[in-house]
Amino acid sequence: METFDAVIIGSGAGGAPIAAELARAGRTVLVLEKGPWFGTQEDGFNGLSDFKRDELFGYGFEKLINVPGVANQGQAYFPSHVEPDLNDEPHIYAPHSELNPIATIEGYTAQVIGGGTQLYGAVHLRFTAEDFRLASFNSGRNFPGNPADDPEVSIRDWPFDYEALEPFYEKTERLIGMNGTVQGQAKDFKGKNPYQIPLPPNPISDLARAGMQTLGMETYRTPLAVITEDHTPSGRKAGSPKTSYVNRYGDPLGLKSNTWVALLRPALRDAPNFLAIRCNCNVTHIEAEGAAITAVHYRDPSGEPKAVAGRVVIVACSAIESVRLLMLSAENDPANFGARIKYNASGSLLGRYFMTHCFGGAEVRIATGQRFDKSLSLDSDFATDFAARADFILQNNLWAGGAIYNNTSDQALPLSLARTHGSVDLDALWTAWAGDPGLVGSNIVNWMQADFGTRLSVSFMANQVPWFKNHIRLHGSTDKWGRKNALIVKDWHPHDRTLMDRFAALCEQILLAGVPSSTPGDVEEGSVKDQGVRIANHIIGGARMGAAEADSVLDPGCRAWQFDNLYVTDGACFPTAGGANPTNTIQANAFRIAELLKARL
Amino acid sequence: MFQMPRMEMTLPAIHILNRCTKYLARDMAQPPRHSYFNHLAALPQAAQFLEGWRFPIVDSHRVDGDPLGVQRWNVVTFVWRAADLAAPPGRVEVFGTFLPPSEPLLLNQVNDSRYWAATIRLPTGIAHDYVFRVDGTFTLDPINPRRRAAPDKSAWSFFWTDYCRTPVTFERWEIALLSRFTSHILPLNTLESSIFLSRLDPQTLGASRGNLYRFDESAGAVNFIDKLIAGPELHHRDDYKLCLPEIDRLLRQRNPFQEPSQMPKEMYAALYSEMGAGNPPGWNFGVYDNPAYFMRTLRRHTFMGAFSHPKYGGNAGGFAWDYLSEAHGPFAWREALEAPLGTSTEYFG
Repeated sequence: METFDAVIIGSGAGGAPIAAELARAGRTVLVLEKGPWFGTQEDGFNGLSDFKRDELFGYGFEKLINVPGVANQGQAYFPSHVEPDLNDEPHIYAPHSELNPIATIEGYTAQVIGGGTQLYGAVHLRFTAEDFRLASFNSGRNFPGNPADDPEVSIRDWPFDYEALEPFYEKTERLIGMNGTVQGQAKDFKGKNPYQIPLPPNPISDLARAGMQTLGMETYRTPLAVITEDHTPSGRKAGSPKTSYVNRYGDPLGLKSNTWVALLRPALRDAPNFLAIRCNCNVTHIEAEGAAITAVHYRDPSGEPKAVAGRVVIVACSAIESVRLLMLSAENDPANFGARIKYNASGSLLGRYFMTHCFGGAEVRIATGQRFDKSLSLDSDFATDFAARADFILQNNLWAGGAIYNNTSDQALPLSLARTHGSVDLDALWTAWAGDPGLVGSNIVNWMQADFGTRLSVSFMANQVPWFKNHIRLHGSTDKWGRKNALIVKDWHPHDRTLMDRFAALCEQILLAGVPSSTPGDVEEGSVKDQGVRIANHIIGGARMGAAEADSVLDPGCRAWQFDNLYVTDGACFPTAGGANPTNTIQANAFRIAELLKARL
Repeated sequence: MFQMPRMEMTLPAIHILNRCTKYLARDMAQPPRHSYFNHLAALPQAAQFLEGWRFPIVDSHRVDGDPLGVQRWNVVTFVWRAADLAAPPGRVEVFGTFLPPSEPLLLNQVNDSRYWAATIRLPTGIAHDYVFRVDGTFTLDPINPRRRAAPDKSAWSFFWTDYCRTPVTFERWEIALLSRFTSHILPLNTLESSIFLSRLDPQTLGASRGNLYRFDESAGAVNFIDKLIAGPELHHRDDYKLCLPEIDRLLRQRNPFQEPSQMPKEMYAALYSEMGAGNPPGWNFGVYDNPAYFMRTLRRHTFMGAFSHPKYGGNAGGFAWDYLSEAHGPFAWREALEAPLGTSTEYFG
């Protein structure tokens, strides 16, 4: 069997850093990516990219859900061109009652070279020091609704602290390529500035910044994984990235720092004999003999079954799919693989403590008649760590904090303005707009006049309580290969709701303070607290790492406890969700694991 | 028969596989997953594939030294999927209205995959019929659900290239009716928008200039819908084909002395409102039971058609984006997009 030093499943944030590091260190690496190899104009055929600045690439044409046994059978959905199709490979969501499960696009990241880093908005924050030690931080605290009092909540410190990860944050930010500012962040950058200089903000963002500063919040330019200058480590030249084809779009110019342009492409150039990438290859299961993973089985671009071996095998295909792959492998071999991964064993933590982020915010239609061209923007301009600091958390009787930043590119284009109008989640695009019979004729014109270029939103992204009840398991429905789909059972903990109310109110205050003439009646504040399905594509937990085997799925080095050479390095390994978008931390942790693997291999 | 200098191309294998695996690789023993609730019942094999309307693959094409090239040319790749690699086809050819009849295009196996492919450069703006010949046997494309009959009743698979303005779904009277409704839904043919029309630069419009005759159709929304329901949203074709005759019948019933396309806009506004409310007087619910659903669908389609990229058939020259820019802007859409539609010197569409 074809054998590599490392076989890495997934080319996104959790896999690419390891692939690039090991290949540069002279270890043979194979990356198996389910999605296609969609390049930039620089590497695409005939100087064209496979990504387009085309709103129908972000969310496309209507399709109808055709998954047996789900409550939303027959409902319309609007997939992007690089996300999985719901009829071929759905995620199934159910609340804790497990009544009326639905097929959902929530929790899926892109299936393409670079994974979710191709479509993300590129907000690239670090976690705070407190985010890594929330058990210690909350030890001995006594406040109403303390989630630590819930026996089904399991708050754990990470098996390493911020100080240990800081060098890898710095490495990530330097190698990936991003812009932002350090001053004002509640993280210790050790005197270094890893950022390129941000571009001038969109003028609408100044209103959010003014609101934050009026409330005494220290602000900083939101770190974005978008290069604004030539980026030597990846060999990219600066360009003009400010378009609203950023969030939910792959970047044809490669200025958005996805893991393909920032890590894998440079590694292929520098170490072509050590790095192989096979796209359009869907890993079906992993095979073990005793504690050793002996084969990774996949289907090639035609669907033909193939297998390869690796001295180590790294699973990094996004948390839900990684857990699903482990479970499918366990069902394929319950006696050995299943027993070692503790699949369906009493007290097993595999699939448990699945998390996303508490998120929401506030939005206002600027009443002064000012209009802004939001299409000349990146995803965010200003952020504050006001609500990430310990004093805020303590004063507000919360267990953890989070980041707040303004959104600039949301609803900046006409189709996105309409299809997200009044929609509560990604599964309900177009529903409110198309379903409003009053939106016709002059009313449409008036609606565009009122809403186009006039709406400003501020969002929060905060820790979600790790709750045993929130979990991933296999569902009875199957994908296009006959493999069981992933079922996500999730609700918001009562403390999550409390936290989201507090954060949403804070976002409302920011807009009231920053937007002239705005009144509480103008500002819509809210969160996802009543939508358990919402995941924000921040998919975290399900195979958490920890210092003790009884309390985790992975050891501190992200190795599955009862296996010698099986690692999980995407967001699944997080013990807590962190108070910010997870990609930076997934990548930093992957660089940390790469160091361990270089020493091993 | 349309003919042109033949421009075959060889694409990198990965380029073709990137466009095949997600849609075509699957367990074919499973029941069809993409029948759209029996809308593709007559095409059980096509209903097994994901988004079979993407085949043949129509890509954009960049011509060095020709700034209009991206609007003038497409690269079209025909794909044949071998059912059994153990018994692969010996010779796969495609015949089409873009080739001389005696000169088919030969498909070659892509690496060791199930896919046989051939690529040719074709002009934008044209719909073509085609058929495969596999080891001597003519067959329609089993992947592509788009089929139509030639005047001699023979069946063909068909596709169209970008910026196509030839109707492939609607007849003239249907276009006339729909035009009135789309104009009612999205009145971009108002005084404000006509100002933009007078300013449109024919050079900038490029391949989409032909859509200008559809100006009264909310920036070409009808032309967009014409293509949309022949391909990506084929499951809505019946909605239009059932409702438009009903609409025509109702309008004639209400005014027997005037062609529906010539009736005053108030009649369309009234009927739109009645259909939106779900109960237009005189509607035959035995023919189509949910006129409100049709109106919701039409409203979405109209907006999509007006504001999506012009290559899909609407929004000629970015007219609707210009409207937004000047009526509700600022909206510097040209800065992001490819020339000649936009002004970006970095991005090629």
